[in-house]
Amino acid sequence: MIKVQVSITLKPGVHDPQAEAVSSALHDMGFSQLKNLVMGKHMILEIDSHNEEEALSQAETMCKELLANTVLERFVLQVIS
Amino acid sequence: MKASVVVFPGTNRERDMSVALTQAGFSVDLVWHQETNIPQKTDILVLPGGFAHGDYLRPGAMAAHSAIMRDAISKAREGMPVFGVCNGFQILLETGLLPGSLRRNHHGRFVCQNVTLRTENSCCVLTQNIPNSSILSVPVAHHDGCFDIDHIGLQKLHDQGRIVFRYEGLNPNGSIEDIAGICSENGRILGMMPHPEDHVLPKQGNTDGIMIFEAFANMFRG
Repeated sequence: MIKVQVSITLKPGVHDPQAEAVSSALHDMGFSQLKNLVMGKHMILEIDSHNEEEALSQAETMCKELLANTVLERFVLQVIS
Repeated sequence: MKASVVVFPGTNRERDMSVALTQAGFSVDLVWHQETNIPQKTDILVLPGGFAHGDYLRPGAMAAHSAIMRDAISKAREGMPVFGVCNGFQILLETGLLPGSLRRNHHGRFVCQNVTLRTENSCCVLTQNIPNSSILSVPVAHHDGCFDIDHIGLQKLHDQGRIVFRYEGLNPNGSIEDIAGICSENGRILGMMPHPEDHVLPKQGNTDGIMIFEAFANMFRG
């Protein structure tokens, strides 16, 4: 079994009102050094395979076909075990 | 004339949509998303509003991959008229039948209010009986209705006359160029964010929306 960690975030430049709201709340709490905040989705896929390359390739297809909207989002994959 | 209205888990506007279609003279079949075939003799396929699959992942993302949508995509590519409203519009974008994306409203809030729409001079076959620059009042109710598309895609929409509705005056969600509805290249697939089906009966306070459903009916009556 291979675990692949998926991180999906909006592409730079895509307006994210959610991140803006959270960022503004943190500023109001006094965290004045916060310069930028990116929010996204975090997933862990457990794939029944012993081949890392194959697992990554499957995860990539899953991201392109369903998990990410590649018009607005980008994704990063990482094998974690 | 028969309209088939697809129901996903979480769809909640199928009844209003059925009333509007019936009002314009259609008989209506409700079709569960796990069906593999669109009913025979369907003249128009309708994807109503709601929160299909709880809007999990992204609005419309999982619905776009459901069993019924496989047949819907292939029939739409062969020219079957398709109409998607709100969540139905989001589903059409996720299937790739229409271009662009609907992202979170620019102000971050859910909007639920009446808006004014203007019909554009477009290639949309479904709305060809509505005069250009008609003004209609219809409600919106959504969180992810900010239409966005890259520069090349936008240019294509312009060049091919595929912008069907724009918000007039107030743009409730930050959509690029006030776009509220677009159609496919062949003009037979129409997606829009506002809900014309909720302004068809006098008791709803306004009947502007019926002109859209009557335009569909007129198209089939020739």
